[in-house]
Amino acid sequence: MKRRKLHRGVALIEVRDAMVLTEIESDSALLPFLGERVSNTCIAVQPQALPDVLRRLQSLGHLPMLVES
Amino acid sequence: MNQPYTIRECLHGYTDDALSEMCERWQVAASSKANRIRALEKVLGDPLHVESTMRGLSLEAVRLLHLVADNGTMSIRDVLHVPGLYAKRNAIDALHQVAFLGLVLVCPEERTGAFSFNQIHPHRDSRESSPLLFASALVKHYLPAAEPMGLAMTPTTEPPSNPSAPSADRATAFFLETLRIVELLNPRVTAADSLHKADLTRAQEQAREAQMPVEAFSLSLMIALELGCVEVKRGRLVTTPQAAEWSSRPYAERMKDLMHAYVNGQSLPDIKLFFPQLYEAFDEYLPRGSVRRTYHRLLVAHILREQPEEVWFSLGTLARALYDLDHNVLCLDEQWRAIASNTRDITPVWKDRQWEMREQRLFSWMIQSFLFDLGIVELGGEGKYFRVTPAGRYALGVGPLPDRGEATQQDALVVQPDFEVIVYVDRCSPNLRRTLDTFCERVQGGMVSTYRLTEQSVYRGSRTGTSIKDFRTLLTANSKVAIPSNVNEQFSSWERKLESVQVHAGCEVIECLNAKEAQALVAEHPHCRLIGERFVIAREPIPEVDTIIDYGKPRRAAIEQEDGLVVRAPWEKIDLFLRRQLDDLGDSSTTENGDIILRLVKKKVEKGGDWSLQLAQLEALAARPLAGRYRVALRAWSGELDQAASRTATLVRFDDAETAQAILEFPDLAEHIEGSLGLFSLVIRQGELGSFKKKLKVRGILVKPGDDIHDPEPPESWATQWVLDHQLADDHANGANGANGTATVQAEDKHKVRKRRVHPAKEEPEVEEAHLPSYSTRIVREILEDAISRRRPVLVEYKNTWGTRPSIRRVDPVSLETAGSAPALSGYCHQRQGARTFKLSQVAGIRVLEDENF
Repeated sequence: MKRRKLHRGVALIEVRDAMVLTEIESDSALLPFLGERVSNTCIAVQPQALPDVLRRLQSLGHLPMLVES
Repeated sequence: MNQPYTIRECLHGYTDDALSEMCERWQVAASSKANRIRALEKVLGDPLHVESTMRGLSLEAVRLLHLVADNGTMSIRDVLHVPGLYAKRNAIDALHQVAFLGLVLVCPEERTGAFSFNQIHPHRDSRESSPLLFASALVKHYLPAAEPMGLAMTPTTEPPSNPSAPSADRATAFFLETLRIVELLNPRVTAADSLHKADLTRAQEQAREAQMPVEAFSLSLMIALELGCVEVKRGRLVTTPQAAEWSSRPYAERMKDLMHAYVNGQSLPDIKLFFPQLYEAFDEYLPRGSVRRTYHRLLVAHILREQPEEVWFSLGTLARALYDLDHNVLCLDEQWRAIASNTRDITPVWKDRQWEMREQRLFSWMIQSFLFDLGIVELGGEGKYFRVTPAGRYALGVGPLPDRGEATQQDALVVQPDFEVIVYVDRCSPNLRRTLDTFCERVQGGMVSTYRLTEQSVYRGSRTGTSIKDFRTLLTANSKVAIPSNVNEQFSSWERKLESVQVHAGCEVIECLNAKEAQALVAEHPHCRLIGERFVIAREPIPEVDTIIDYGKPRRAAIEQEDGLVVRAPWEKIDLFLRRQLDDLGDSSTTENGDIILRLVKKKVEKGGDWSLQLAQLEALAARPLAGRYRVALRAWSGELDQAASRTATLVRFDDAETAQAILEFPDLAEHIEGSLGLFSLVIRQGELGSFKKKLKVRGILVKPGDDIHDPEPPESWATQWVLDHQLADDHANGANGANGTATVQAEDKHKVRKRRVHPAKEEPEVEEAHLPSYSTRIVREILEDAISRRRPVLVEYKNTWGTRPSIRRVDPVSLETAGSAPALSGYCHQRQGARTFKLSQVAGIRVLEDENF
């Protein structure tokens, strides 16, 4: 039997390099906002915390590009 | 402009003769001045009269009326000195005509009661103040359109072969550069409205650095003042918001503004350039605000306005046309100019020479320099020929709005290798300026602004929806110079960096139970993208989903409590954040159907820190109120150790009631517990305190040893002795019946005997211990009700909660509580010397002391 679960309105961080995701996960300021690893280059992030996450990613030297789905 | 005076007010300023002449003209018979004024007022205020009069006017008169109407008010001398604008000749006749008819009226304050038509001619050469003329509103209303003066010039027979394209942007560039210089220097202005010498020198240096001719700077400054883009503020020149407003207007409109400001500008930089020795005389004799001061420019515009498109003329033709129209355009006939030129006599030869030396050169320069730079004309034959461009005709007010290609906007900016962008604001489209404002940091404002490209500014810009690629394209399209390679490389680097981390907001992610199903889903729906082994991003809604977790709504309770310290999260309730949260609390595992089983683990809880936060998280996730065991476990593991102490061999008292109750929920601990005593204490089975303490310790609860703590042996080992002791005690009690003193109660363990003093009542009756008659609860209740009503004390054989040692109590019964599930007796206990409550269910025997009262 097929079982599918729709996660509606979730936010994701998608990176090109898996190492970047590991680096993001190791940041204690970001950790509370992070969820399950969807893949080794993609991780769920709390939608309500997106502004904070974007700010923190910038302070870590990244230029996170926000893509509205 | 509103009419400054009424007709009556004006006519009061006329002489009787003048009024008579006008009455004669209008065939009005009136004997007195007042009657004449009244009659003329009637005639001049009659629209039918005015309209019919207009029809009979000469072309010169109509053009003169237009000139006066356009300027609001004009002095008679001013009107007479600009005949080229309305009549090639016979200016005085034209003025006489309209004045006689009352179509132009003389403002009364100038010559009250003294104006006569005979004075018109002398005013031409008089240096005294000249009466002001104006056209009434009625005249303006019925004024017919002015027809061209027929100023067509003779076109050249041989058109130039390689004309130079009109330099449409030079004049605007000079203008902008002038504004920039003003912004930079804020030059001081002297009392004579000229620039301070030192500041003028610095401004000219700046102009030279910008490869702008000095005369272009002066001319641009005049235009800026005329347009209101620059103003004098506290003795200094400053730019105004009008400058930005002007720069945001379309190209053709800006061109028209510049042309209009040039033609009507009150400063005389061109005169200063070509008549350096006569400049002061011109400045004196050409009054500010008068048409005479701008006549030479108006005349050129006037002639150009009447020339057809695409027809080439020589500069000489233009000079000739000007000469024919009015050779006195720059006061060549006037005495003051001859005097200023040190000429004794004004001869035709001198005039011709002056014309060739001054006027002709001035008008040639006007065509070749400013009008060409502005794009009004294009030049050919090395500047000897010119023709009016379509844009020029629009700027002159005779042609339609030209369609200007985008290519003319190409040099709006220059990107420099140091990441600075020099921007000519007037050439920027609103979109380009907006994009620059978002993608760059503005270093310096003004008409020639400087922006700087930084990583953060570009990042900020890219977040507005425009990609870096689009921004680069925009820069390239608006710059004639290619973007430097290092800037291009940096753009590429920023692009790569931007693409390396993407944050998707508001995604619809479908989680499948396994990878195979996820792949099948992607194959089935082309708008889905596989982003993980089991996860798929859907760009369109997918109907076939079993459950939906909406992250925009409050989080649902997801965990169910299992036995012990285990919780379960069903698959359909697991969101993308639950597993990580649960992982912080213990060891999780996933069942075949996707459920998460979590066993709380001490190590992880200890690592987690704040137990209350962890507990709150767990409680928020739980579908039902969390059992106390989880709370106790989390508290204990996180370092907040519960304290417990035993006061007797089997009693353990906890610091808080919750812990005491929670202990009962642990099956492995509950097996050691006999029961609870109150809210804080638990009674431990005999001989099992050690095991109980060990298990508590595993859960982080330490039992403090007290000085009276001991753990007696199991009952089998001491029960026999206990019975013997009690018998002895009974015997002793019986023997000592009625005796005073302390009664000692021996503890269970004979090795660790503890004597407890029992304070008897002052008049303690004889207590018959053991073997009181036993009844059912209902009977006990009836006995007690009877005793209460008769105030008889009772002896009660009462088993404690833990039921280990029944004791005989003498109780004065006060009331029976029968409302609850456990009926109880309240009364005064003589043994405990205080009010106590006894559960009837725990009363093993009872006897009423019939002989006593209380």
